[in-house]
Amino acid sequence: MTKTILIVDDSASIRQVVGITLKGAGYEVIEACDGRDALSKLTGQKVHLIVSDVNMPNLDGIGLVKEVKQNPQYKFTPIMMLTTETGDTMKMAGRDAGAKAWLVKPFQPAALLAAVAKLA
Amino acid sequence: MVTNNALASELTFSGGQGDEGLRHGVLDGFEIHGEQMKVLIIVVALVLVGAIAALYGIGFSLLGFICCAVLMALGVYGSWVIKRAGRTHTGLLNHAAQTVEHYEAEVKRLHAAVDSLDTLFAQVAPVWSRQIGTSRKQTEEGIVELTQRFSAMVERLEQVINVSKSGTEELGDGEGMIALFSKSQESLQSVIGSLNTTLEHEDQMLEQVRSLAVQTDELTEFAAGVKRIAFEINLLALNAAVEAAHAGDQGNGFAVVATEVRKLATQSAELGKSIHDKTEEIDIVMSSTLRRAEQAKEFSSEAVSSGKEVIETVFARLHETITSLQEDGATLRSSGQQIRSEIVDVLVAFQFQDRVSQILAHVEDDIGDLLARLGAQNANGEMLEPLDVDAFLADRAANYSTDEERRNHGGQVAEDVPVLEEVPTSEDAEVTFF
Repeated sequence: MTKTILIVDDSASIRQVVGITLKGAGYEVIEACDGRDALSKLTGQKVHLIVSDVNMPNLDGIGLVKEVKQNPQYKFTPIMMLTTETGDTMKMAGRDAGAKAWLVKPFQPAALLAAVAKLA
Repeated sequence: MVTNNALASELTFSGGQGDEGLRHGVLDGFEIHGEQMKVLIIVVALVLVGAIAALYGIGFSLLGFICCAVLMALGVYGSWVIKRAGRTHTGLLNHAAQTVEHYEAEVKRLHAAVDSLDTLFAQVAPVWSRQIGTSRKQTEEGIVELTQRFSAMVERLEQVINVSKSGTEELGDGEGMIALFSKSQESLQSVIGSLNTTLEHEDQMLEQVRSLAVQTDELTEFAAGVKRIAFEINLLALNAAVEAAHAGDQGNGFAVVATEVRKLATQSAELGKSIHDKTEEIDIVMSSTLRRAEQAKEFSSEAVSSGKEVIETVFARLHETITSLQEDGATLRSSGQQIRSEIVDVLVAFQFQDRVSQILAHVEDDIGDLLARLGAQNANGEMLEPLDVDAFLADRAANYSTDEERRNHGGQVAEDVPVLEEVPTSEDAEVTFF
């Protein structure tokens, strides 16, 4: 069965890069431009993994993780942060919110696919 | 910036306590000048009083006049000294007044300079912010456009690769394709075998036709034998009729028999001739049929032989074509996958735009924040207060999201911006699992 992954990033180019990497590996992809847009895309369909940026307008990545964990239908959906942030403070904030992994941009496709394979 | 600060400090000093001090000094100078005039009048009065007292005390003697003259001289000298001192103070006061005017003019100029700097920043900062915003937007749009086009190229390449792969698989990829080819070749060769069998059957039929020709020859011989026998019987019957005539009446019956035998011999001879004629006709037809059958067999043999050669040639060419197609398909797939991989690398390298966009967005935010603070002060009609530089910079640093920004903020030149080649390639190098 093809697995579905929700990509959340305010940078269209990053969404494209992540999307083509995941599609090339056989995943189905849904895109959202920020946290609020991502919440609007979680409308009942099965999502196996959420890959989200941290710094975004409207609703940032940490806020998105907290909102998703409040949603009974998606609270067990694993979330991986994909961000330029390298600081431990931000990582701990992500972990405390409920994120399962932290991948730093720029990333290698192999690293992204390996992490996705472990989580999805 | 240092020059401006020094200028501002000088401006503050000149426009504040320094200015007041100078003004105070000038007023003090005028007071001293007034006191000097009083002292001069008092000195002159005392000298005159002293001279008159000396004249009255000493009397109008030579000594009295001398003392009076000395006192008058001292009074004149004292007056001259005091007057001279007064002129000196006046000069100093004039100089001080000029200095005050100079500094007042300088203060006004510096105020104007600060005001113009404030106005300049208020006007140029939004321009800078818009320029940065435009550059960021154009870069982002350009990269997104490039990314979309490259993505489309990758998708098309994948389609081409998949079509090529499925096409080869339908033909039978690798050994399967060769096996399919061999099976087809065997099927066609069995058809050729069937045609050869048909030719063999034709040969057998021709042999049978040839044997029929031999039998018709025998029939001809039989017909000739019948004619010969009929001839001999006819001769024998003729002799019998001659002998019957010699016998007279006694030979009449025998003559009748001889006549009947001659009739039979004649009929046998006609029958033999008829058989011979029919046999010749059959022989002619059989010969013609045999020639046509042999020609047909020859044509069939040539057709089968030619067909076999054509099939072998076609199969050889087909084999070459299939082999070439297999090699071309493999090359196409390999090249397509390599190009796809390179395009994906290019796409991954476009991640720099995200970092650039974030850094420029933070610069825009910083300029906007600074403008907002200045605007708030101007709106409240407040004097320009010195900014808390440390607090402002700390606020900036708190908003940074990339290591380059933090290094630049710390005074290091962030030349070692991470590029794709430097990103660790091991799968878990940049991933932290919680």
